[in-house]
Amino acid sequence: MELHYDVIVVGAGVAGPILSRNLAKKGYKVLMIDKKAEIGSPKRCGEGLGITNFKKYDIPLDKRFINREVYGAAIYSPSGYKLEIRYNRVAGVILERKIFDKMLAYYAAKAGAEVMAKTEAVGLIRKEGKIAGIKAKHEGEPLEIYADVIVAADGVESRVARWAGINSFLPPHEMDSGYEYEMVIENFEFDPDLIHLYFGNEVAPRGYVWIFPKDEDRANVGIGINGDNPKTAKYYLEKWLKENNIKGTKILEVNVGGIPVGGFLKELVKDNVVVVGDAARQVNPMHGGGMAEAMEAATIASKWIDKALSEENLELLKGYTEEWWAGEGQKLLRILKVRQISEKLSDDELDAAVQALSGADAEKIAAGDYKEVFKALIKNPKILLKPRMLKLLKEAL
Amino acid sequence: MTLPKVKILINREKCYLCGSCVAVCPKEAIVIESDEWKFFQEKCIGCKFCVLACPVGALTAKEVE
Ligand SMILES: Cc1cc2nc3c(=O)[nH]c(=O)nc-3n(C[C@H](O)[C@H](O)[C@H](O)COP(=O)(O)OP(=O)(O)OC[C@H]3O[C@@H](n4cnc5c(N)ncnc54)[C@H](O)[C@@H]3O)c2cc1C
Ligand code: SF4
Ligand code: SF4
Repeated sequence: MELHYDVIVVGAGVAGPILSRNLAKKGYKVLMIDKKAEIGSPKRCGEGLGITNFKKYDIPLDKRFINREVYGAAIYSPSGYKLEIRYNRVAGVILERKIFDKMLAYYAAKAGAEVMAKTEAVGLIRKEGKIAGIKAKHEGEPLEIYADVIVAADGVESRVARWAGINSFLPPHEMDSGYEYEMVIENFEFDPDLIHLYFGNEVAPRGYVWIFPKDEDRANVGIGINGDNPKTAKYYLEKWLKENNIKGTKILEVNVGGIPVGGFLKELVKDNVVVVGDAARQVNPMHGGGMAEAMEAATIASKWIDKALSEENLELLKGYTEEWWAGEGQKLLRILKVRQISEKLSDDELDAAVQALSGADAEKIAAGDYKEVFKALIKNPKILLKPRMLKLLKEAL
Repeated sequence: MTLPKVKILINREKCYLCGSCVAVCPKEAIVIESDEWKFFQEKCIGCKFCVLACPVGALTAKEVE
């Protein structure tokens, strides 16, 4: 079967539906495909999302995909020092992503986009040396989908970008290896109004263990570790659960996945192929969250696709690369630098850092104001005594 | 420098089809299509990045020849 569209979007995670919705609203003929039989499922995510993103990206706060509202975060150092950031208003939500992704696809469809689940992209169509569309399969039936613009929103395992000749190879040290249980937690204290993050070189090399509460006693308990670690993420999560006497006897779901943390794609556009979200490695390298980042990239990309199509000049697509790199890209690079420092800290230094930060302006820290973080750290006598730490901090300022 | 030639073996019972191995493979020697994990020996350069990155340890490298 042969089909024709203005835009074909591969992947209906977070980036794909936001981009499809925005372009369908502008009147373009958009098709979004996903290989999943059920959009949103299976999911690979901790499901934490900051509350401001709903308004920013025009997403309704629909109860159907919100498990729980959270008011802040608690951060734990290796020896158990705690830094608590608590607001008197909702700071974020723990989603039900299976429903969230499907509803995002629904919003795209409502705006006029066509959506086809259980449809897998398997290659590009090239005509006279140019990329003309996507070869796909639906229940084994081959489809030829022609489009002016092809969007790779196909997640961490992206193949579309590589088919177009964009080198999106992700070296293992630029990926976090993730493992997570949705489980019932018994006999372990945690405030279900906060998310909880546990740091330590023995706890989670380079990453952290998280508890994202979905109920008072039910939560996503997961881990991210450096992707080039000879041990597995599963090994470290099991170890942490055991050390904290949390029994893994009520596991409702297992999630496994890679999280790009660094290695943001330089080339976001090639000819008429546009790459967004995890496929473009657009993830916050400090906390590994990628939903808001995918929304931001999709918003910028849809703006430039609109420009390119309305002015019939595909060269304009490159505006997306430039705009993303000038703003969001620079921000994420700065965050990556901070991560590269923090990952060098010893357990003692992590302890000292968390102690020092408990006295700092929590609001500013939460807002990602790292200057505030360093100010607090440098003032701390315990840290001042450590020349190595001071050197690292000076490098970052 | 050439690395020893390996064959990547999968334990299908352990695999979640998460695609981490696809992402870290420099040569597209691993493909997941139609919910099936596939390895292409002729493309593999033996770096073992896939083995390291798998969150559950579903992959092993076996030296060949
Ligand atoms: C364990 C773990 C925990 C995480 N926790 C959080 C968190 O708490 N908060 C947060 O913000 N982020 C989190 N992330 C990251 C977040 O999940 C991703 O950044 C986000 O989903 C990226 O959105 P995306 O649209 O780019 O890709 P995805 O959501 O991965 O969507 C890609 C879609 O493309 C489809 N697809 C792929 N290939 C094809 C093909 N060939 N044909 C058709 N369809 C295809 C897939 O089926 C999928 O639906 C976590 C990730 C992991 C692994
Ligand atoms: S990384 Fe491991 S679990 Fe994920 S698809 Fe590859 S072999 Fe399967
Ligand atoms: S060993 Fe390297 S080249 Fe071979 S499949 Fe694994 S990642 Fe790819």
